[in-house]
Amino acid sequence: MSASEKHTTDPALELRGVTISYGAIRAARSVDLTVGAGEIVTLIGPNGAGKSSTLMGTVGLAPRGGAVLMYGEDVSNASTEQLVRKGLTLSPEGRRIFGNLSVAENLRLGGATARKTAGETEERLLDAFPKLRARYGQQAGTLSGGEQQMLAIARALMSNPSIVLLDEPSLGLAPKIVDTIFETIEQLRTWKISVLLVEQDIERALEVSDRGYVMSHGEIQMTGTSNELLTNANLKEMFFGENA
Amino acid sequence: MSELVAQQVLNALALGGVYALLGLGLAMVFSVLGMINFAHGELMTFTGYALIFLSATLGWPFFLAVFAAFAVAAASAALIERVAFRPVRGASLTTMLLTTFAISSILHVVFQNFISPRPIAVAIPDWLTSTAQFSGLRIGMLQCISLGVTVVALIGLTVFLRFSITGLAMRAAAQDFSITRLMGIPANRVIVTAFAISGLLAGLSGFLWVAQRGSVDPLMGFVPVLKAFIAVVLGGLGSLPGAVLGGFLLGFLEVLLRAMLPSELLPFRDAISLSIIITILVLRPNGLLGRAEAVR
Ligand SMILES: Nc1ncnc2c1ncn2[C@@H]1O[C@H](COP(=O)(O)OP(=O)(O)O)[C@@H](O)[C@H]1O
Ligand SMILES: [Mg+2]
Repeated sequence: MSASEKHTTDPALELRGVTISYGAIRAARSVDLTVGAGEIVTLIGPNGAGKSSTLMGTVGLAPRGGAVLMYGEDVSNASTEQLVRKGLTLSPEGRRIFGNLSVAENLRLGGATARKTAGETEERLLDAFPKLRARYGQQAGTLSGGEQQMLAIARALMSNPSIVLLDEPSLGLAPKIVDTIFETIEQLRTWKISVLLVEQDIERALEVSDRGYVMSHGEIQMTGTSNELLTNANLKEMFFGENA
Repeated sequence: MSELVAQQVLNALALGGVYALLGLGLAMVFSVLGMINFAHGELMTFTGYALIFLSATLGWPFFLAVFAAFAVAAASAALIERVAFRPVRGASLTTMLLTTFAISSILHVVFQNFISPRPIAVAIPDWLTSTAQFSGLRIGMLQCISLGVTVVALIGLTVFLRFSITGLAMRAAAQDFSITRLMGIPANRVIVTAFAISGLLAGLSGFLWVAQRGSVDPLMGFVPVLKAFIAVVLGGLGSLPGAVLGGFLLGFLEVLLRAMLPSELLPFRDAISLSIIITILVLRPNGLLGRAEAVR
């Protein structure tokens, strides 16, 4: 197999036996997970399952064991900064925008590793999120929850990533804004960005994604195509039992 | 009367400016590491010794020696970060604080044993200590320079923090260090820059302090940095504008007390100004400009 062939068949992101521990607390145990190039993959599971820890560990912001590969290259020992430069990024749980900086400054920092294309990327993102254009010079901390979430996603995309991890982007947002967020996620497909999405809105997440993983108690319990998971009775029981 | 007031305002601005610069240096490091660097005062002292060495021993022209001493201060701060703080990064806050005390004591001993336990005079050019008379107002050259240096440093720092990527990253890191790294900005770059700027600010204030007193001694940095620390707490730990505000307020308070207190109460000046500050802090526990979340 030649190098270029290998490159096209390797998944964009691969976790092999990833373990996240905070001292004695094991938040994730030997997680195996792949995101193919151009794929949208959803990771679902109840609160405390270890989803956020897995994402934070993947970008090197939580103590991680096991291997992380990007396009077949082992990047387990790369620092967060290096991973971002290689094209991996995360829009973290709880948004974590820089509230004391302006919207413009948040975006500028997001594009710190891709300065040549930053202007162009920013234009594209401001077109996608006109609300951010209207608030461009405003302190990010004064934005509404929905606007902050758009800013968090836009800030992550400013680095021109090839792989984006999104942690609960729709949490606590009004239905109309949730629509915008999911439209954006679908748009990432046309921008050739591979996505690993963590969501509470399971049905909606599986509708936009190709495949999914179900995690609980720090372990992957189930995996399949989005259709399989959507029609899986056990899963329905697990998550929709009370509401359905 | 109005000349007297103007005179005291000028004194207060000059003194407050030095506290503001020192306080900013402390706040800079605090904002990225959540730690007060109690070795900051030794950087001031070291600037003084560097100035003496370069101007008196090596015979460099005074101003060249001053600027070189600034560079020495910035570089020493970065070096201290590299050899002393980086190894304990991520350790508990107590460990980091003990490290700052350890560095401070080690430097005291080094200054006392390898330089001199006694004050060493600094040859300050005459024009620097000259004063001009304007309709009853006595304006010292050094006061003007203090004010000028403070203003230029504040403007320079503001421009840096608002417009450079590293400056933006430092403000972001003050709020959320992990996520700043997620912007692809190396943690080390942010921290070393914070230390270098903090060292530069210690150098600027060290020079102004030494020029005022005409000598350098091993413990010189202790009192001003303690006051700068008070200024930072008063302004709001973690807030850079707060450090500046706190510095100027403390300067005004001290000058005011010196001018107003009857002579038998003058020895209690510091105790009185501290009591006033404690009262302010009781009313505003996070300082004047501090927000609850800015304090970690
Ligand atoms: N920084 C941390 N320190 C210690 N424990 C943590 C930390 N973050 C998460 N945990 C624990 O790890 C487990 C998984 O949490 P998390 O990854 O946030 O789950 P999820 O995102 O699926 O809700 C929980 O028990 C949580 O309490
Ligand atoms: Mg979570």
